[in-house]
Parts: sequence; structure tokens; C-alpha cells
Amino acid sequence: MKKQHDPQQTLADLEEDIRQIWQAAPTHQGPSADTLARVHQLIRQAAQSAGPPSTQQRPRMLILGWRPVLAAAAVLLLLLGIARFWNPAPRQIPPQRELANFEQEIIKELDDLEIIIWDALAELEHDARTNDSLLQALAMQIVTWEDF
Amino acid sequence: MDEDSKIRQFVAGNADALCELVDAHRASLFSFILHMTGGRDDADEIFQEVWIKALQALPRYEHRQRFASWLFKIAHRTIIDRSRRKKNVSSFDHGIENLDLPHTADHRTPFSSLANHELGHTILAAVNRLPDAQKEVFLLRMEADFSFKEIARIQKTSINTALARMAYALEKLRDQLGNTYREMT
Repeated sequence: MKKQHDPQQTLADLEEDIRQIWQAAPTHQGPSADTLARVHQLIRQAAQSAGPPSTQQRPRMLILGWRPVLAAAAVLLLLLGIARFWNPAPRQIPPQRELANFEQEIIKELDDLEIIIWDALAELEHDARTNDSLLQALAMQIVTWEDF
Repeated sequence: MDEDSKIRQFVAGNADALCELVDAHRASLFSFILHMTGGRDDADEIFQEVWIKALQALPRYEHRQRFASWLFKIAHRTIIDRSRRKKNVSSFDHGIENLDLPHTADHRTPFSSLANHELGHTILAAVNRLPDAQKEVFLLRMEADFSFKEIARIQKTSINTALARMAYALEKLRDQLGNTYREMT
């Protein structure tokens, strides 16, 4: 029996209907064989270069790798020494800086809160996939929350 | 072997492990890219570029998230970068003309009748008329079956926005499909 257009049709119902049409239509394709072969080849090349380094290479890389680190550390210590010589007094944190720090903390708290709400909403959305009225109620709640 | 194990094996030097992942995701990933860009040549190039970027980023891959979600996020950014480079944000004008429907058995649904072929053109035309953001949500749901939470993360938006985009997309598709929708459902 054909379904009549229902203005009260839920999002989940509509999605299911459209999904059936989408999957019935021949719209799905894969990459060309050449492209797939190139990707596989790239992966094999990458895997070869990503393998564990040989025992002959490792000590040489280690020595080369530490030299710039030591040089950078020496320069950093020198700069710190110069900075302390020219500005021996302890630094005062201006009120603006404290305010900025406080603002950052608040933003971080809000971010954490948003993640918690996201996770809760995702769980609700997962449960709501089979429950249309709950999904609609959820959508309304989210709108309210975002307005807030 | 699960996807995390395959990634660890690849990082340890086993290429076959990642090739299996490529094969597992090639249909949904390519279909998503193809419908977002509209041309087979572009889609082939982007498909390859996505895997090159994935290869470069795999050592930093965080195993807390689903591999598909991570992969499609790379695809999302690659498509945006490419459209910016080409200064061609929308592909609607040329999407349908350049998009050949498959004529082989290498796809998920059998292509056996003229009715299906016409249906393919009808729904592709309707999907291609959607705004990019709505089209992307629709494709991520249909091709990769992502949750709205995952889609929100891919699009860097809220779940509410992802839900709203899907709702708008579905309503537009229902209206544009017209009789086809009523007959199919």
C-alpha cells in the first residue's frame, strides 16, 4: 500500500524511506582498478620504509639526532641566564593576565561540559533511533540547549 | 583481526594489514568522495590523496576513535582543501553530467532495470541539489552509517546542527523526489 505524505512524519521514518530509495538506486561505485593498485603500491612502499631500522643505521641516527638538541638546550640556557641578569626581580602578574587566565579556565570548563553533554546526547540519539518520538523530543532539547 | 590491530601491524611494517583496510572502506569512501565532488577523475585523485594523507598520519593515529571516522575526517578536509584550491566550492552544476552510473556488478545494489537507472539519476540529481553541508551529512549517514556524533566531529559542528542538516536534507529530497518517493514507500 502506498504511503500518503504525512506532515507529522518523523525524521527517523523519513530517513529510513529515503535510505531505501538510495540503496535501491545504482549510485554506488568503487575507485578504478588503477587507483586501487596505486594505493596498494603506496602502502607497500610506506610499510617498507616504516619498518624497524637496521642495527647499523640506528647508532648513527641517534648521534645525529642529539646534536641539535644539545645545541638548542645550550642556547636556551644562555638566553635564560641573560634574561635573569637583566630582569632579576620576580615578575608580577598583571590583573589583566589573571583575568585572561580565569577566562581560559572558564572556557576549558565549558569545553569539558560540552563534551559530557555531547556524549550523553550521542547515547540518547543511539537509543532514539528506534524511537521516533524520543528523537524529536531530543532534537527539541538540543535546540533549547544551543539557544542557552 | 580488528581494525586497531591491523593499524598496529601496518605501523610495524605489515603492508597487507592496511591493504585489507583499504578494501574494507573503498566502496563507502569512494562513493562519499564521488558524490561530494561529482566527477570520477577527481574522485579517483582524491581517494588516492586521502590514503596518502592517512599513511602520513597513521603513526599519530589515536586508537580511541573509529578508524572510519578518522578516515572520513581526512576525506572531508581533503575535499574542502581541493575545492578551495580550484575555487569551485560547489560541484552542483557539473555533478550529474559527469557522473556515470555503474554498468557492472561491482557495486552493492544490482543494476538490473531501466527503472533503477532512472531512479539513480533522479535521486542523484536531488542529492546534488542539496547545499554542500547537508549533502555531506546525508552521504555520511547513507554511505558510512555514521552516528550524528561522529558526523558532528567530522564537520566540527554540534550534534544539533548535524541533526538539523539531515532533517533539511531529507525534507528537500522527499519534496524533490515527488512521485518516486510516494511510489517507492
